[in-house]
Amino acid sequence: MQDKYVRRRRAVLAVLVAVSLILLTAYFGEAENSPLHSLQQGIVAVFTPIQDGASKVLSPVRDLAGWVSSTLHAKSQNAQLRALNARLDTELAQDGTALAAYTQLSGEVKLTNRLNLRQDGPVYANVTTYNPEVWYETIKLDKGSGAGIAAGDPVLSAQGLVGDVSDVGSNFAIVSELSSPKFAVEARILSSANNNAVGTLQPAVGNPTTLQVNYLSPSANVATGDEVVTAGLSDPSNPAVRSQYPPGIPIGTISSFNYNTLVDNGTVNVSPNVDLRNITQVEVLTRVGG
Amino acid sequence: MTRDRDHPWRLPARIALVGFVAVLLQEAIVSQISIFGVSADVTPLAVAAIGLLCGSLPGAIAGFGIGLFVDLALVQELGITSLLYIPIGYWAGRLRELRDPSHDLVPLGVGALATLWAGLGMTVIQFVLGVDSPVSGLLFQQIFMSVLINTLIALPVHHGVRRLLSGAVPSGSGGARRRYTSGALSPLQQPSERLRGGRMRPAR
Repeated sequence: MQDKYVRRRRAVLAVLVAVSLILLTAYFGEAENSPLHSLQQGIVAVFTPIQDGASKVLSPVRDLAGWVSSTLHAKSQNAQLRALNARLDTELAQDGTALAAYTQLSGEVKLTNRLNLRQDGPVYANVTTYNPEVWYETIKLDKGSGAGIAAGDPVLSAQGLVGDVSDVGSNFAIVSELSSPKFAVEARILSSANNNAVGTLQPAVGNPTTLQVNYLSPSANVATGDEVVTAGLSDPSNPAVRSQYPPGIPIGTISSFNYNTLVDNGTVNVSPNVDLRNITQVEVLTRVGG
Repeated sequence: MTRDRDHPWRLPARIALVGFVAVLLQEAIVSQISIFGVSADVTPLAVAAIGLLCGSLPGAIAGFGIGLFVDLALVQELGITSLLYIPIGYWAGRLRELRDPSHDLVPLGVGALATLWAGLGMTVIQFVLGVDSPVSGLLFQQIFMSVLINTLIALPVHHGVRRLLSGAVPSGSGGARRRYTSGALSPLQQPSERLRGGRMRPAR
C-alpha cells in the first residue's frame, strides 16, 4: 500500500513537471495568435472584469494598506518629505483625484501637441493594475484592441515614454514598462555639445529607477543632466522601414557615467522621467507612421 | 476518512477556491501595495500552506494549478511559475509527512523558503531562457526584501488557507509515513505498583 502510494506520488510529480516543461516549450515556440496565446488572452479577458470588480470592492483595504505603506516610506525619507510638505499641503486642499487625472491628461495633450503626435492616433487609457514582478514589470490598461491598440504600440505619460504594448486583448492591454527586461529602444542623447549621440536604451534589471544607454560611440560627448529622447530612426531610402517610436519622446536624463565605462562599454546611466510605480493614465500611439 | 470518501471532490474544490482567491487577491490588492519598493506575493505562500496542510500530492498539484493560473492571469510565459511552485507544494507536503511539524512558526519558515525558491528560481529560469538586458545587483536586494515581507505575512496566509480548507483536509494524509511509536507506555511512564495499591516485590 505504502509502495503504491509512493509510486503514484512520484509519477504525478514527474507528470506535472513534464507538463510544465512542455507548456513552456510550446509557448516559446508559438506565434502570437497561436492556441496557447489565444487561451491565455481569453482567460485574461474573462478574469479582468472579476478582477476589476474585486479591485473596486477592496479599494478601501488597498487604500488603508497604501496609507500604512506610505507612512513607513515617509518615515524612511523624513527629511525629503519635510521639504515636500508645503507643496503637499496645497495639493491636499484640492480635489486630488480629479485634479491629478486632469493634470495627467492635459500633460499628455501638451506632449502630443509639442511633438506633433496627433497623426499617430493617440488613445487615452487608465492603468488598472501593476505587475511589479521584477522579471515582468508590466501594467494593465483598461482599453485594448477594441480601441485600436495593437502589440508594439508606444505608451506615453505626461512626463515621457512609459513602455510599449506587449500583449493585447479586446478590453485590456499589457504594457511592458521601460524597466522590463524585454524592453529596448533606440535613444538619442541631446547633448549640450550638440553631437546627439545615439545608442540602445535598456533597463538595469532589478533596479527600476535606473536605465542604461548602451552601444554609444566611445567618442560621444555627453554630460550628466543631458536629456535622453527616442531616436525614431528611419531608412531615408525606404520610408516604410522606420522605428515604431516617433522621434523626440522624452525618456529621462543622464544620471551618471564615467569615461572608462563610456569608452570601454559605450554605456551611460539614465534616470527615467516617469515614476513607473505611480502612473494612473497613459496615452497609446496606435498609428505611428500610419 | 469516511467523510473523504463521501465527498471526494471536496478537497480539490476547496484547493481550487484557495488558488482562485489567492490569485485574485494578489492581482487586486497585494501587488498594488509597495513596501520598500517591493510587493508581497501570496501565491507561493498559499501553495506552501496547501502542502503543509494536505500533503505532498495535493501540494504538488496545487502548485502546478496555481502557477498555471498566475501565468495565465498575468500574461507570463506559461509553465514557468508552475515549474517553480510544484516543488514548493511537494516539499511542504513532504515536510508534513516526514516530520509532522507542530510548531506554530513552521509556516513562517516554510513561507520564507518558498519565496526565496520562487525568487531565485525565476531568476535562474530567466537567465536560462536568455536575458538581453544588463542585470543590476539590486535584483538580489529585491528578492531579499520580498522574502522578508512574505515571511511577515506567511502566518496570516497560512491561517486563511487553513480556514478555507477546514473540513476538507484529510486527517491522516493517505499513505503518509508517521513517526514510529511503540504503541505502549514506556516502563518509565508506567504507574508504580505502590501507586496501584499492589505489593512491592523484593529486589532480586
